[in-house]
Amino acid sequence: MTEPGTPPILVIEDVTKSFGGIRAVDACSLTVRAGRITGLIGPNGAGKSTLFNVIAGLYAPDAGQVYFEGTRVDGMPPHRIVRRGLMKTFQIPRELRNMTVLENVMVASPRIAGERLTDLFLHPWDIPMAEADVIQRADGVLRTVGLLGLRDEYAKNLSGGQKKLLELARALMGQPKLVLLDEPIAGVNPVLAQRILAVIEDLRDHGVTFFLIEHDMDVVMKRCEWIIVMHQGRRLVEGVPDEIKANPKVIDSYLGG
Amino acid sequence: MADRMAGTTDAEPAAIPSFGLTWLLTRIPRWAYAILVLIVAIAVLWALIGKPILQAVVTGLAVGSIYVLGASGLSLTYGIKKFANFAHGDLMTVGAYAAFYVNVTLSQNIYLGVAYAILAVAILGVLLELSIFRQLEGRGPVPALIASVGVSLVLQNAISALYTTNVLYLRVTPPQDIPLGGTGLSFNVVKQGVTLVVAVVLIVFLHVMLRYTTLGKAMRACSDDMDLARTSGIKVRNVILWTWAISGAFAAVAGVLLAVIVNVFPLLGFFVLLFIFAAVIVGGIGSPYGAMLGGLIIGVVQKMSNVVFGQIQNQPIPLSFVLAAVLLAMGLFGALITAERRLRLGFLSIAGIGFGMVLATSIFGWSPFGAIRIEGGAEYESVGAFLVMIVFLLLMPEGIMGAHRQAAGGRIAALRGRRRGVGVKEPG
Amino acid sequence: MVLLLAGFVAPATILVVLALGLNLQWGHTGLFNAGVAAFVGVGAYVFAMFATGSVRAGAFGSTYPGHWGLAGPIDLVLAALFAMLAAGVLGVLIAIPTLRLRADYLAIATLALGEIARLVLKNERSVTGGDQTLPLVPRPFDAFVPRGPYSDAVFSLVAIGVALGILFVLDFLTRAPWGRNLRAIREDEEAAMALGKDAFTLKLSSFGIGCAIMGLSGALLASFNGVITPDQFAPAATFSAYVVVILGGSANNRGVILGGYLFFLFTWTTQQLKGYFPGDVTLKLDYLNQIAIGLLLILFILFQPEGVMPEPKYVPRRKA
Repeated sequence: MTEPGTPPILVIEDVTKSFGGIRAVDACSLTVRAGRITGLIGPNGAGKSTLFNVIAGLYAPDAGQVYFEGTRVDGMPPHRIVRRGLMKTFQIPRELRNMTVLENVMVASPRIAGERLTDLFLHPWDIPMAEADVIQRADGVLRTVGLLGLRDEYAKNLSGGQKKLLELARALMGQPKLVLLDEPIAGVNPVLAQRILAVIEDLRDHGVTFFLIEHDMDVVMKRCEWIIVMHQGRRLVEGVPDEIKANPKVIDSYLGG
Repeated sequence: MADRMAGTTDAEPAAIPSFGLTWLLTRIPRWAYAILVLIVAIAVLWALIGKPILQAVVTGLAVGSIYVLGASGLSLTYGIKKFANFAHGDLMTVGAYAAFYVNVTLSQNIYLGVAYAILAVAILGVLLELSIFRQLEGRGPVPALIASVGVSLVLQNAISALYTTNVLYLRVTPPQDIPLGGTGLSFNVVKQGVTLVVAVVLIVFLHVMLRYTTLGKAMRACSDDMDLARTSGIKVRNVILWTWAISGAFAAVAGVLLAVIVNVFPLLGFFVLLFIFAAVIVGGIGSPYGAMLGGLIIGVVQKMSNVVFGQIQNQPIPLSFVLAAVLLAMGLFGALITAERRLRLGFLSIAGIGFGMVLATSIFGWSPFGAIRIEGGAEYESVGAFLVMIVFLLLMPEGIMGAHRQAAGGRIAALRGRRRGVGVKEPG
Repeated sequence: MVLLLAGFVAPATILVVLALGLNLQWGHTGLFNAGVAAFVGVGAYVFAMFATGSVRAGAFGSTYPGHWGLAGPIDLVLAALFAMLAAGVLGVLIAIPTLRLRADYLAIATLALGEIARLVLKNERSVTGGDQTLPLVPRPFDAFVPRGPYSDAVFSLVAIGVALGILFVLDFLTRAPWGRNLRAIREDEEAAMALGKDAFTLKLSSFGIGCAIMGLSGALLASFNGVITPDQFAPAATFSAYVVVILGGSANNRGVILGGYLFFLFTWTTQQLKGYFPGDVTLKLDYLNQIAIGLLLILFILFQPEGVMPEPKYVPRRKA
């Protein structure tokens, strides 16, 4: 099942989350290992997005714990989890509409001078330089995802696919260690999808871990090094793509088990 | 980084535990709870203060009836248009002036005045929807709110321009207060009796209409999920117009009754607007019985505050007691609101300190900081009502009979760590 | 003529300062603070209390000496700072429980809390003088210039100086990353949190600073008018501030300044026109003025919600 030696970067233990009477996540336990792309698949309603929301701190679990790099993070507010290096993108892009693409990316920058009032009042002279650095980095990130031409456009004017790229750009800017990608290429045309996947793989090569929810089985099987299958709120099986492809339990769950 | 595999956890089932205190807590409907709490409060205050509290309850029910009528109208538009109509109080004022026009200027009887007022405000509501609020759909709750503030300004000042700001009087002479035997209370058949009766009747009418008529069901559907209603074939546009008309009608009646009690002047409705908002929030948007409960609660709380503040006016209160009460309240609230473990412990300890201080002050007379006096008395009556509203906004914004109540048992679970307020959508 | 204007510039500038504070909360952060009038009132009263040496014994212990032994204007600066502090602290206290509420609930909650604050200011006479007014609140240069049009003109200069100072500070704050984070929260709070921004603290600091600025405008108001009555701080004053911000341009500080002066010009013109009409019509002119403002508000919200001067787009130069 799991290879010894690759360190776990995310550990989920017996996490349960209910809404009203429905248990979206049911005593789910799983582990994500660092430095690779892990896929999370399962039929609709399996609880994948809910699990992502719990991990990212948007929900506190009813029970169970979430450990990121060994530290317990369940119950922490989302922004602190992000500061620790765990970022999540949104399935339906949440762009900052009335700000430019550049600003959207700049906002994602991890701790910079001038965000805290103490910085602003105690040493304001540092800020212009810091800002210039951020702009440069942001321009770089935009170039990587191919949005540099739209830099000064208001985010609300972007197309759906471009908004997806923006989500990715913001995740890049944040220099995270683990990125939860919620359907990063859903509804995106194939050319753009290729670009997104290329960026992801390039980052993976630089040490970023990815955990992604995706319904496109081709992509999942080809790009993920490890796949975890969820069903009815729990982990069903996990393994390398070839194992999963052939696993009868997985096929059953999709057909309505 | 050891690979920890989970052993047992302390997960509790989401099902309702059988019997015991939690079972009891989840079985009693919230409105019964609310009434119970209110009765207990009245009883406690009666023991402490005596008869004036009972008179306050009577007056409070009367004032509350006005709030009931105002709140039910406001609740209708709030529920279906999803914004707080700050002009609702002024719609009430328009109703009062319309009745005045017929009753005094044209010297007709008051019932004709009421009928005319209902018609006038209903039409006004429809016009406002057609000209303004329809165009603001889909832009969120704030633009419409701001527009309604503009409408409020226009209405108030138009009335002032036409009628001056002098107080005007309807041609009705309410009978004198009737002293109620040996109780020392007095009761006014019209100002209190009729008002209460009219409010109850209209609420029942509203409930029946919403439950059993086609229009009513359509209104509820639109209020729950406009898109679904539209695709189900409901003529949403018309339903909205009817909602405004009915809301306006209720506002008109509320305005006229209010005018009978306090007479006619341009800010008549605006003065009670906040109380009506309080009633809507406490009772729950979209529920006529909620409006009734909320209105009466707010009215009673307001008048009881009147008496309570009157009692403590200029009395020395140990400052340590006040500080303790503040710490206790802040601590409890904070603990209830926050979802973070660490913060909650912090808040509970603050509450603990506050509680300890309360005990020390009341039992042992510990009072190291001297005493303060509150000079204002009855003028602070709104404070009690507003504080109740704020408590509800913070802890139970959907109100007592709110539409999106959590399932039984969910409330207890919510107190144990569910993250609130971030507003994330349902699971995907 | 210049002196005629002075009587108008000063109160207009006070409104501008107020609107700048509100702009930080509403325009930049999206917080609908409906208790504006209360913060202005608190600022006005605190300033008056310290500036006239009227802080008495009792709840506060010993009497605060009205003068530090320094000349007049510096005392007043200190009093103004106290006013800002009081308003800011009150703002933070109110914000802590209420910031979690969504926009319209926040409006209602702040409106109610503002009303409570106003009632306290009005009724606690031992502290604030309540309905009876405090002794005449001094203007900064009272020792040098007697009351009258010249004093008005001097005060206008002081007020404009203050406004420019606030503008400078606000510009700096809102162009910094802090300001950008505020706008991110305004646009989509959840998304901002998903990018690592501590929404609560940011909203709290924005609210607090905004309230402090409102307190400053209250201090200016008290100093200019010399007398303050609690009813000046009724909810109606709050709505005027919103009109200025929305009409002038939310999140655009210069737009807000423009809006403030235009708003006041409009009101002032109405006042001047009164001289040309018979008695009973003059009263109606006030109402017509308010009706016009209400209509303008509605029209702007419908057709030009970003205001006369919309928020400028942030386009820094690109490095090659």
